[in-house]
Amino acid sequence: MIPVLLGVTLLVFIIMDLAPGDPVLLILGDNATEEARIAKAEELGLDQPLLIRYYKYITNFLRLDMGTSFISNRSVSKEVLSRFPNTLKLSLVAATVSMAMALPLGIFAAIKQNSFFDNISMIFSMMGNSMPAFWLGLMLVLVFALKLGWFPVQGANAGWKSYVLPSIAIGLMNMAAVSRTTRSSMLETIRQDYIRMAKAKGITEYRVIMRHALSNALIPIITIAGVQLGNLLGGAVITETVFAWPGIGRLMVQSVSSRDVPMILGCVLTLSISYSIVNLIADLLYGLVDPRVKSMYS
Amino acid sequence: MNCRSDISNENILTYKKTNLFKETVIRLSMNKGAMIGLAFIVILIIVAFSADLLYDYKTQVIQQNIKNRLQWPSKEHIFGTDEFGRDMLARIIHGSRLSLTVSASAIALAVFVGGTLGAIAGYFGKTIDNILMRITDILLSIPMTMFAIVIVAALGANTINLILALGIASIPIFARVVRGAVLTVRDVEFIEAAKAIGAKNSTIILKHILPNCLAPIIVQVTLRMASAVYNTAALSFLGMGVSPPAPEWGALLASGRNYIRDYSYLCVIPGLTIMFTILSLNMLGDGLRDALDPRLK
Repeated sequence: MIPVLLGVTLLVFIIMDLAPGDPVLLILGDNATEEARIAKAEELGLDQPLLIRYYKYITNFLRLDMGTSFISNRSVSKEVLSRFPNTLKLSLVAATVSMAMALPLGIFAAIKQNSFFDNISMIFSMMGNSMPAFWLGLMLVLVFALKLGWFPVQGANAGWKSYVLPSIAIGLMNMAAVSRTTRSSMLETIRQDYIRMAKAKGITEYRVIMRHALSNALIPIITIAGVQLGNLLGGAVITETVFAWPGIGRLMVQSVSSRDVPMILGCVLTLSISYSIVNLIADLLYGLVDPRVKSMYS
Repeated sequence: MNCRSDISNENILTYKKTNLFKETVIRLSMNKGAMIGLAFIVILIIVAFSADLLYDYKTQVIQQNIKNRLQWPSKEHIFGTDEFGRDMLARIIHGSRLSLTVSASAIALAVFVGGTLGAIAGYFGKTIDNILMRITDILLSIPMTMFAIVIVAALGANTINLILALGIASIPIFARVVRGAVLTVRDVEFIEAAKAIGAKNSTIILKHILPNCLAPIIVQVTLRMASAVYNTAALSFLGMGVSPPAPEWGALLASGRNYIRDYSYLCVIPGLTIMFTILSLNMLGDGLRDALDPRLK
């Protein structure tokens, strides 16, 4: 994971270095004198070659120092870390909502394969997978906030009510992907001989499904759930803008508009690290749910 | 000798000719979802190509007509008019051209660069494979939409940069898919035979390997097109893609957002258009995957 993260930081650093325009002029304005510009460039270390700046950035990053914003002059680390919990909370709530809907839907669709319920749930999943989260968000706001007034239009100041619409907007797309994977993984598992054996022994249908089938079908479900949680973090950029959510995604969009390079770097790196950690946790969970995976590495 | 030739002739007569393309088309045509998706995409492409014949870009799509502003859908304006009095149907139709062009160009770029890198990695293996795959690991660890935003932030927001951003962000996916496909045919006898008769590496890759691993690439192109349509709209919605007054679907949604309370059709119609396009591409992609490899069904 560490080489990947180093690669991500270097890549983003190089891309942002390609950005046209002089950051010093952005800070001091067009009327700054040549001396002031040179002094500011030296102060920010912008007169140094790219690799040296990258090395300094990484060593500072390890001390949780991500530099200073070009626009607000505030510490990037403080700004990013103050916003990150909001993004994480929203992503976790959305992940919980999507898993709570996706697992039963996928399991029932598999048990009742080719039934009316199966067809409807798969059409629903397909539609959910194709619905842009930012549009769904707007439609939820239109109906449940503007027309019915049940939930706030935007922001995170109304307690649990603030979480309802954004988590449904971003959770539905993930729900669709997880339910489809759950269905296909369960279909494969319930056709195995040991499931027939369990049924022949007289074990109840519920126990066969939950104890024997689901636990064996979990690996692909965990994989897709990990990827989807990562996507929730990455997709926060769009949904947070729709709901004016005070998270890291909205901070990033605002920083892109003002070309605040240190802030963009801080946001991208924090989200990429979170994305990698989520995928790592998903990998580690394989060992917990499947003893065969655990035995391969012990 | 005669007897042998008789047997082989008989075999030829009784042998049922199989054609992968024909079989795939038959299997695809039996999938209702895929056919509905294909029909929608074909209609959308025809509409996009004939956009100029249906509505004039300068006078009906871009030019403001304040007298007609914010009119609900009616006989004169089937999808209503926007805040500047422009016909929404005209803008949606011209928007289809933009959305499809941006998405198709981005995917073409990704297929070309990603496919080349994947083919090289898969065919040569060893160090080249290791280096290229570690680079794709790095690229894949940045969420796609965010990666595209970073590139747009660096290069500036316009249509060309949007295509570059979406294309570059999709390169690692195609590199992975093509590499995986190449690995499955790399050590097959006909490749060894081509090597044995002295064929060049480029000839082997282009003439013998790639045609034999087209199936996963075609499926991925369809599914990734859906994702490119989504990201094109998303970036334009955020103001980082196609800029107004160009009628990109995401940009239409962004400008309609300001009037959502009283003129909800300004958000509903572009959103439904984006959704049905993505849905059609997803259904077609799923159908193609099932048709090209029935084992995956």
